[in-house]
Amino acid sequence: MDDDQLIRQFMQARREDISDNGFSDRVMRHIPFERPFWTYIASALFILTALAALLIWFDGWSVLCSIFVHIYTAIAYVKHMAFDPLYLLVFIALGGWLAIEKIKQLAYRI
Amino acid sequence: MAELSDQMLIARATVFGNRRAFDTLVRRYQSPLRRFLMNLTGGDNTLSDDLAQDTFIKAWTQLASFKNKSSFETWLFRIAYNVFYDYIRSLKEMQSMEDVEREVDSLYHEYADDGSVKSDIHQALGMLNPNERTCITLFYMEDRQIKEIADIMQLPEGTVKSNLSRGKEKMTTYLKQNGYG
Repeated sequence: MDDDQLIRQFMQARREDISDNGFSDRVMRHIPFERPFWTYIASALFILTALAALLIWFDGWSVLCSIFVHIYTAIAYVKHMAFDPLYLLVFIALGGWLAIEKIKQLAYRI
Repeated sequence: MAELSDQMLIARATVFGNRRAFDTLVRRYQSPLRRFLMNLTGGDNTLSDDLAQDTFIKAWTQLASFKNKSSFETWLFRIAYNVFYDYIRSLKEMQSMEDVEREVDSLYHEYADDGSVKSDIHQALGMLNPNERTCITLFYMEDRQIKEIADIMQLPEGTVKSNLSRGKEKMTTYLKQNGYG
């Protein structure tokens, strides 16, 4: 065995994976909660780029127009529609899901 | 769900301040980072974990400066190495780099030689000076390339090579004398 192999074998035999044991949770509790200033700039740039891409390359104006037409039609339709309990159920389910997601987010902060 | 790449997680953490993405990175790299710091501190578990925590906090606040020139792991190791030396400098006022190296060595031996640690690796690494120790650890234990080690320690590649060569010589002598060869 040459010197290189001798050292590698010695070192690798003593290389062990360190189990987390709550280390990562402790780190995350100490990470400052305030987002660094540059993340807001990065988010704004990202959103603006995405909007520009939507409008310029993917014929975004006509997509937006058709969305507005659909919304307008849906509102006009709902105005003339009798109350259906199914809509209430869907609304409650959706609201419940959003609430659970928000609670999960808050729990993560704690 | 497929495991997200480092780049994807970094983008999420950077652009949206997504803590979950950063949490995944912490879990992914906590083991090699803590092991590296353990080898720098002579096996001091508590100190290594504190330094590893400071490293991740610093990484979070400086994530925007990560340029993808090296791997995320190498970048983390470089921060850890700087955090370790900042800690050493904070212990007492030091005038020169020699003072810092002396302090690193004294901290290493303080823990590795106090009898509570039975690990032979820290005894073997204790034969080396701090730079040789870091090079040997990164090269043989963490499987880092010379270029990456130079990047982590902010030293020219030639200096890394000579540290490795001197360290290798001392380690071989120690291992052979102690019946490992």
